[in-house]
Amino acid sequence: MAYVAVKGGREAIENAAKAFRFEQVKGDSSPIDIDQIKEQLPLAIDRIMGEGALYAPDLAALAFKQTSGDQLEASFMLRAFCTTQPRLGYSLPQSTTEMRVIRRISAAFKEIPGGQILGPTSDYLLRLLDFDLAEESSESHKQKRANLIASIGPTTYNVTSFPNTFPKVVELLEQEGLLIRNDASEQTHKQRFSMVGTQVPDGIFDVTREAISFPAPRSASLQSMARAETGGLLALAYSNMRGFGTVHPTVGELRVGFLPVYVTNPYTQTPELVGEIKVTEAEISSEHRDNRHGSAKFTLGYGLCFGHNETKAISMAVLDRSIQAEEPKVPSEDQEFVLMHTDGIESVGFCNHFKLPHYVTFQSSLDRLRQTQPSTDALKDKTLSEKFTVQTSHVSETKETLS
Amino acid sequence: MLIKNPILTATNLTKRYGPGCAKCLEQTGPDYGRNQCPVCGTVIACAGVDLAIHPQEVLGVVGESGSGKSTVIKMLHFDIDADDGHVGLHTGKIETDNRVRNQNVLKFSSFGKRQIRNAVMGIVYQNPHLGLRMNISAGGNIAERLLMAGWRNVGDMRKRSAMLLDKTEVPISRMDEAPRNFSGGMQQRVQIAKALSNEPVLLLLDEVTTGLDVSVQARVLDLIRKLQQEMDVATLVVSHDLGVIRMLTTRTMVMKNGRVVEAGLTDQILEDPQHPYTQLLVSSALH
Amino acid sequence: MSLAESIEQLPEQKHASYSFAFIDEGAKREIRRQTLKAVAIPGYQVPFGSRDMPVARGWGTGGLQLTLSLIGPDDMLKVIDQGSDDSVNAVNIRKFIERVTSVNTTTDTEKASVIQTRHRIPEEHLKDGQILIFQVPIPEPLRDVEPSERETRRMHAEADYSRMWLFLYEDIVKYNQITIGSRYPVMVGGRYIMDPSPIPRWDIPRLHMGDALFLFGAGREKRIYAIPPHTTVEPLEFDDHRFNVEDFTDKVCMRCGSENTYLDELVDDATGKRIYTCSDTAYCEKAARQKGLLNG
Repeated sequence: MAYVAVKGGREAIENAAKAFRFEQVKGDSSPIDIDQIKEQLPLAIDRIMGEGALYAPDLAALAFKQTSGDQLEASFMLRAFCTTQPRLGYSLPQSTTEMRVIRRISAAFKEIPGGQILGPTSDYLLRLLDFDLAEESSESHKQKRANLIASIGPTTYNVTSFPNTFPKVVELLEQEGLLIRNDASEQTHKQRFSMVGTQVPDGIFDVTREAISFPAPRSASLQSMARAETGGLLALAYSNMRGFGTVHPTVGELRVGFLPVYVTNPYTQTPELVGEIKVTEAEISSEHRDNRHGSAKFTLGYGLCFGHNETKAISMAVLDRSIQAEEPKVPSEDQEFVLMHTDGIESVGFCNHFKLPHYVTFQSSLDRLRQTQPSTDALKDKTLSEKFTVQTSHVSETKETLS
Repeated sequence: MLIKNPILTATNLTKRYGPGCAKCLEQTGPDYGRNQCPVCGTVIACAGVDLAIHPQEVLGVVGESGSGKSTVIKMLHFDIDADDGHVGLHTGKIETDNRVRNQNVLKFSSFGKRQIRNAVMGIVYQNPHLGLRMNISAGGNIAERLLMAGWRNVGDMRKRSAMLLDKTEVPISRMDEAPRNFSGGMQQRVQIAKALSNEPVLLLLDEVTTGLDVSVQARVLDLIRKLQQEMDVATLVVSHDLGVIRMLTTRTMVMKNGRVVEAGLTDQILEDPQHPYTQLLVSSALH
Repeated sequence: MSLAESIEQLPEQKHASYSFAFIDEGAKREIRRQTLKAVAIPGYQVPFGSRDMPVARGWGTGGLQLTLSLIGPDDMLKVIDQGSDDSVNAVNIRKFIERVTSVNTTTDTEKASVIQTRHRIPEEHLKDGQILIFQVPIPEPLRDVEPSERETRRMHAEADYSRMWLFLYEDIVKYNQITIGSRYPVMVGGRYIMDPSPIPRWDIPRLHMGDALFLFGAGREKRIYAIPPHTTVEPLEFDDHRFNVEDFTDKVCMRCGSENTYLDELVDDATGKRIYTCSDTAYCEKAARQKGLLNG
């Protein structure tokens, strides 16, 4: 029997799914708890929630487990889940001065009002494998926790003097008149306070409800980057700070902490606290020379993302600053370039779609190529057919594997 | 000189960069020797420029860099938007004239401006990168203008491109080569061929010989003069070089600090300059 | 609608169960609204708030959102990829739509009311009342001559298409023909240049003055566009270099014997010879059955 078109697709993909699930259970170790993932791999969860644009630690942990630890796939699942949920409303705007800070540093000033707080960071840890972690039990885990609680705290700093809120470092620069704020952001900022209900608030662009077009308002730009893939933002921001760009960032302030989330009670119209979310916020300043006035000022770049992800917040802040360039000279200064190429879910989908069959378009190109050849003598025909024998046998191998 | 309706009449052309204030126009210009407003820092690229171009005539605009002459030509070609002013057209091309009758074309949508530009204008820039696609063949560059004007026959377009390249002394054998491989003089000649391809009513020349070797300059200028006479196209020549103005133009406007300081017949201006700045310009050119 | 009203109207829902056609009703209404706009301006790319689907971006999420926002319980659905109902991606998408809508499905083009496709138009003539939904990877026909979206939107607005034409002109100068294989740009309604999705040139003439509604969805790129019935669709061509379709002269489908269909080229494993079969497998099967070449 000659070759016939591939049949039995349904069975093939069902079997492929089974094979994938089998990979997850083929070992003898006990299944991982959602709580274990959530509590012991919190940075992974933060990243999934950030890129999945949904603050839901339990769902993120579930997705992480289900996707065998593929963070991008897990974020993707959170986004798809959102699609099934109605949009009930928008939370009220929240100033980050109200943040319950667990970490706060400034690279710009040695002394900042409220003080530098290192908080939980791995910045100064030596990157040495800790072989003790390979031999942990619930008991040793608990013991370690008790030891840590005993060793930090009152001896390191005085907990009672820890303030509830901290002033923003960049406000120091602003008071001195050394900082130019983006006009657009000011405007948006004012409009944000009048919003209630399910309508998109005035002056805010909701990238999940509207397709972005360029030039995009800053609210759209910041939302896109808050959802973007950490690695993508990092690569572009790095290109700029390394030399393909003009941003020489100084981290004015980096904060990690918890922000309260308020929504308007639909019955009483009063704000209600519904919970809090962990966020990382970065404000970077970079020198900017105004050509017309000839004076140099600092301009601000802003980054904020879900969870504890400092690389993402800083990269975002650098890019927020760089895409304010009036005449982009490098990719990282071009708003469209940055925003269109950093969404992890979109880029990974498009990259992988090239695995899908393209028989029809390939046939069409083949037809064109044959026409452009000067002549189709027997020799050429033979070579082509030889090439094809190789390709087709590859196809039939795949077919066997699938079915 | 035979009085005909001008094909283009511009009044009060004004362009500024910056916020602008009440003092901008008062405190800038040749009397102050500056074009930046001391109050608000706005740069007045040009202000209150009036001009008219008659059929077949060659009008020159001369001035040093920063005088606003390039701004004028770019506003007329809609490359930059004017902040103020009125431009009326009377091109003799019926379709265009019906569209623009009694209107200020500066107020047209960018779609409308594009259509006017495609129908009646041709431009040659100082920098060939602005006027040519360096990676597209020379013939393709000319065809682009023809395609804009609605041509849809490859053979016809190639014939016309070849004819124009021949006229502008570019070897036809290089028609399918990209201009990035060409010398500066040849790039300018391709630009001229492109500008003339759709038989424009108005040809705009923005410092076309600046940056070329002297011998090459002379050849390009000769070519422009020859083609201008042959095709009878009204032309606006912007240059800082009085030699170019002398060779090509019949009437001239002198600009300084964004304003016109003197206008008249080119010969008269060169022989009997009135404004001190023109006098300086003429005397320094002659010595 | 106020927030209080929205809450009242919330369906009883748990994580494990999904509402009809997966996407929430508000979002479906919004997508239909944008689709209507697309129908009203043939060939114009309407931006829409593309939702995240449980299949990957680039794998037909635009087409899927159109199908899910339009489909009702009485619809008859057909899904094809590369012309085939049975290719893995088509199966996957059909399975998903079945799971969230329970609509009936068919492979018979004639019987389908909604057809979602990737890369092909079925060989059988599509009739009044049928909707063909294309999955679109790159909705912007000008992308190859201008990568910036900001710039291409301006070019469409001003009908500034000379660069696209120039691209074709240069192709002819270099190769004596236009080298575009699939995804051949077309002019819709004499106004907008449109990307017909990566269908072969073979399918292009069937977009012209069709009886069915053609909808195009690009999920990742967040665009919807449409060709309503009886709209002119002209491939870009020159007076002296006409558009032409793929050449299958003297080639016949080895399964059904059809001489006038788009063919897949294959090499017989056993003999090493080149053979051809219809790319539209449902059509092929029907034709073979009619000719008595297939049993059952």
